[in-house]
Amino acid sequence: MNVERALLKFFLAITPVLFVGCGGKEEIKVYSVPKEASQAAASSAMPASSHEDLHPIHWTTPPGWEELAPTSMRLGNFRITKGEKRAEVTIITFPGRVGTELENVNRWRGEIGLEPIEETAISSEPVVIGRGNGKLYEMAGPQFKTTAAILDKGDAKWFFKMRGDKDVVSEQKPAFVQLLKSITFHSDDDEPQVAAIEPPVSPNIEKIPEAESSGEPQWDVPASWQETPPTAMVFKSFSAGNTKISVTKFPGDVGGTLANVNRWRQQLSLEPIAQPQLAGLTTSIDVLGGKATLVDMKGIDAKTGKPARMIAATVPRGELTWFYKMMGDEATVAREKDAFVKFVQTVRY
Amino acid sequence: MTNRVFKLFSSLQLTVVLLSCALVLVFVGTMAQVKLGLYVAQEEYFRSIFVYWQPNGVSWKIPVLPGGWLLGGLLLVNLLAAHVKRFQISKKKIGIFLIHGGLIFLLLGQFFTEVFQVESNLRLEEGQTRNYSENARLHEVAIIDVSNPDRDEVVAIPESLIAKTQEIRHAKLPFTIRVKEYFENSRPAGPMVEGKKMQAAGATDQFSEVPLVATMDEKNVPSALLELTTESGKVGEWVASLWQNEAHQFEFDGRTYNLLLRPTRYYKPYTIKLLDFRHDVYPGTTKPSNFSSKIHLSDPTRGEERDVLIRMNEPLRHAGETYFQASFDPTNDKVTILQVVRNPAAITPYVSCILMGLGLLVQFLMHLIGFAQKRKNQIAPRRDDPRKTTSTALAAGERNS
Repeated sequence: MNVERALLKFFLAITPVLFVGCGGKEEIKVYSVPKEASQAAASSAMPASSHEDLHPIHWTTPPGWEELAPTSMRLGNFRITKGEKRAEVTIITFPGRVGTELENVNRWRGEIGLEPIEETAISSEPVVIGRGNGKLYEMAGPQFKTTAAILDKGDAKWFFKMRGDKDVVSEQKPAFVQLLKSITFHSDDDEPQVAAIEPPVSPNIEKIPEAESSGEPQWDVPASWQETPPTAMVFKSFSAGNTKISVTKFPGDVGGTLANVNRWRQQLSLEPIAQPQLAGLTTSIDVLGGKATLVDMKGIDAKTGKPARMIAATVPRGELTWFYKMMGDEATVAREKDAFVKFVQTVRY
Repeated sequence: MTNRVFKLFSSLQLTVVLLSCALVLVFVGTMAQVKLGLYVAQEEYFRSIFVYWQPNGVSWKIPVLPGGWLLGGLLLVNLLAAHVKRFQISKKKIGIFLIHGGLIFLLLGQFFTEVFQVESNLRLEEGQTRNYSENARLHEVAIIDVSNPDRDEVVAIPESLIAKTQEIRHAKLPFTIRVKEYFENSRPAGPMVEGKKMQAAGATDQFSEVPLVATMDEKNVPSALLELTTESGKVGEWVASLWQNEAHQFEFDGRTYNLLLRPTRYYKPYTIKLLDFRHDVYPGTTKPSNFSSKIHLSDPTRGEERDVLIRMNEPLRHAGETYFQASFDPTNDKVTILQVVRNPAAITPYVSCILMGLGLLVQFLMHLIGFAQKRKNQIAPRRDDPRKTTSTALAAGERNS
């Protein structure tokens, strides 16, 4: 039994050692690295290009303003200097509800040493911010003044604020209004993307990004629709009774409208059509930030052999084309048509 | 007592119980991934001694199942003890020994893989050269003395230490770091955002605490409010956050320091430069069909200068590390992301498979040869019977005569 006893002792002795070994990752590391590597590294934690590529807002900097580097909060960051006097201009955004008008105004008042006011005492004037309309507020304290504007865009609130010495802020108001006018949001999209609150891009991408990860649009799903698990290639799918609604996206134009219409006609057991006939079959509808092509066809479902109706829409957006398709029995499709069209029109990419 | 313990550890009943527990653990651990995500489920079910259950709203928890490490460890002990007790070294048992040896090697190898394997990512843009990789899940607070024009002196404090320590002192740091607040997952917050928030004195940026995420395509973005002090007073306080693009720079005692929270880095004595990145997709889809990175490896310590094409299933193996083509940056088609795996026990599955294969072969051949010989012996006497009888009689006659 000597061997047994020795073996037992060995295990009793080695077990704590093994488990202590597992916890050895908590040491402070000290090392020296060449300068170049460190500098390259600093830019890598979050690629500089991501700011430019994904920046949701653009503007024209008024003359005489010094544009500073954006911070994690400030998408736009400017400094105006007139001799000893200064003012700063910031552009920030927050998703969702970020306080009432009164709370925001009183916060700004507090920053320049003013007492809070009642809601009825708030005064504002309308102001053009890019393609939208916002509200402009002005408030002056003993030394400092704030001119600020708020814009509601989709689910986000945008704040534009100039704060500083009274004289500078008063003098720069026309330039500030000009800056607001010059605002454009990312690409032609009217809906600002709240890139500032997206998790940092890379170097921590841990898997091959699926198509979904390049940006999921936001939409309001009609109450009568149920989300169903998407199949391969389908981005999102819904059902309304026995009618199926699918959303897919592909890079490029995927063969053009004619090819897609003919593909759908095939699913309805219909003969393909030629280009001249296409115009009579499709209609153009307005969607947020552009146009969509809509097609409405009836035929026989090639899979089930039953009469079916299909309404489909294609929305080119950037380098992608989004396809929305609703197919099912005629009565349900007719009932859901308005909801479907509204859904397509209100998707925020 | 020792005998009883030994008897328990070497019993076949224990093997059956352990394997049954393993079956249950694999099932519940797999199901738990739905709710917890891959990484948390792995930690709680497989890289643990026990699996705990915590009722809602209480601080205590009770173990309900043995964890992966306990089961693996006990199976190993069970196997070894059974060997000592039951098996004797003999030529006949060599096949069994090889099979069991392979199994033991596999269990040990897997254990060492769990303990010592380090996975990280190397993100490179075309033309960029790097000599370090970054861990996607671990972070560190780096305090870098950038005063020297040629080299940076880095003190890197792991996030796990920040999370549980109030004050951190290190011989290489002329100040004490006080962790005033730490959020494992955070997001930039505005003044009107309610909930727990952190903000450094004199700074405008605020960060709020948000619930932890666990799925594979989400990640926690930590932030920490750090105060640097010396005996003579406060040096300053800053929020170090993974959200920030740039380090906070400050002067102290005539030297310039950078402070930042970043993914944990692993520096290497060689550099890798990305020459070209190709990313092909299946036509009409965004599904990657093939992607490859042509890199230049420069290792002065080994005198190596060579170009390597890293593709899916064709990794680069160098200096104990394996570089797999893992991903790409969807916002920049010039960027490759390589997965870097350092696993000192990487060879063990191969060795154990060879051992077990060899053992099975030996065992099978021994049985085959034994069977063939037995069969030969059974057939031989029947066929040789008359002659054998004659010769036996003759021999007996000779002896008698």
